[in-house]
Amino acid sequence: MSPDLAHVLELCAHYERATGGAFSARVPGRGLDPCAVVKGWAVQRAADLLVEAGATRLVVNAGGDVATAGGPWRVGVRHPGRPDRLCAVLEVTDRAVATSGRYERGDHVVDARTGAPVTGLLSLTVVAPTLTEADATATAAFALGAAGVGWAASRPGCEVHAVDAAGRVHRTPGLPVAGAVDSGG
Amino acid sequence: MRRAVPVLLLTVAGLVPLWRFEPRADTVTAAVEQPAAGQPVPRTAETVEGPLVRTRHGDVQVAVVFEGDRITGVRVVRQPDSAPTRRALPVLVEEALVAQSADVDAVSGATTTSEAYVESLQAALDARG
Repeated sequence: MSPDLAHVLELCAHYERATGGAFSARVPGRGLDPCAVVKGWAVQRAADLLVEAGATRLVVNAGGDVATAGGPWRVGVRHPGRPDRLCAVLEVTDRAVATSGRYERGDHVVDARTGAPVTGLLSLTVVAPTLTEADATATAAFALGAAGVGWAASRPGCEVHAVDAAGRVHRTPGLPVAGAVDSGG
Repeated sequence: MRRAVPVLLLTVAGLVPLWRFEPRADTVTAAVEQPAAGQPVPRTAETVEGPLVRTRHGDVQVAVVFEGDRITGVRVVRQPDSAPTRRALPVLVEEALVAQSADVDAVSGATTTSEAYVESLQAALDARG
């Protein structure tokens, strides 16, 4: 087993323990699926390589999972019901932003404890020091449903913005919300 | 040994007030003050800041948002800046969902299909370069 694979599997095991099994890379009938962890980990690694190569100010956006170095960067959180609108604008420096949601691919996140789709939340966004933490925390919290908001908020270094199924926003007081620079519309 | 007994008793007696002293865990939530009877009840949203409460881990202050006599939100104005306290205080702010457009560098969202990408804000950003 390569050191990278061992690291990814250890990350999966860590978040499985931390969520009491709601998050799992080994859902029965689906084989090994570390996707929820490996994307954030890989993109953070890409950003780290750029920093090692001398870049000081950068943003890497891999399909909605955003890693940054330097800053400040203004990162919008997609509105769960309207793809062309934002429901929050964050300002981050040397931090990462990841969102887990069910607005387009249907109920693609399931609770590994029950196998049932997660329906308590529309979208959950995590700001964390690295994209590895942000992506895994967002996915694991989403799998916990409504209880995942408080769980993610209690993770060290994590700030949370969540939209519940009733369309209410729940966020941590420390969420780095950007000052309003509205371009109209 | 005989002299030791009264000394011991005095020591224990001196400790009693310390034992009876408990940090008032309710001071944070007790910061909410209801409008006194007879005062006009405010109709619009009003934010009332509670007093600053000093704890051994640092200062805590909350603000409560009233709409009329209903509490619609609680905000942490000040909280101790230590990792254990941050974990112990996952106070969440509840807000209405807004749909805005703003000038941003990147958009965070769940993984999108290519069809959805076409109409997305990120596509517009990418097109602008």
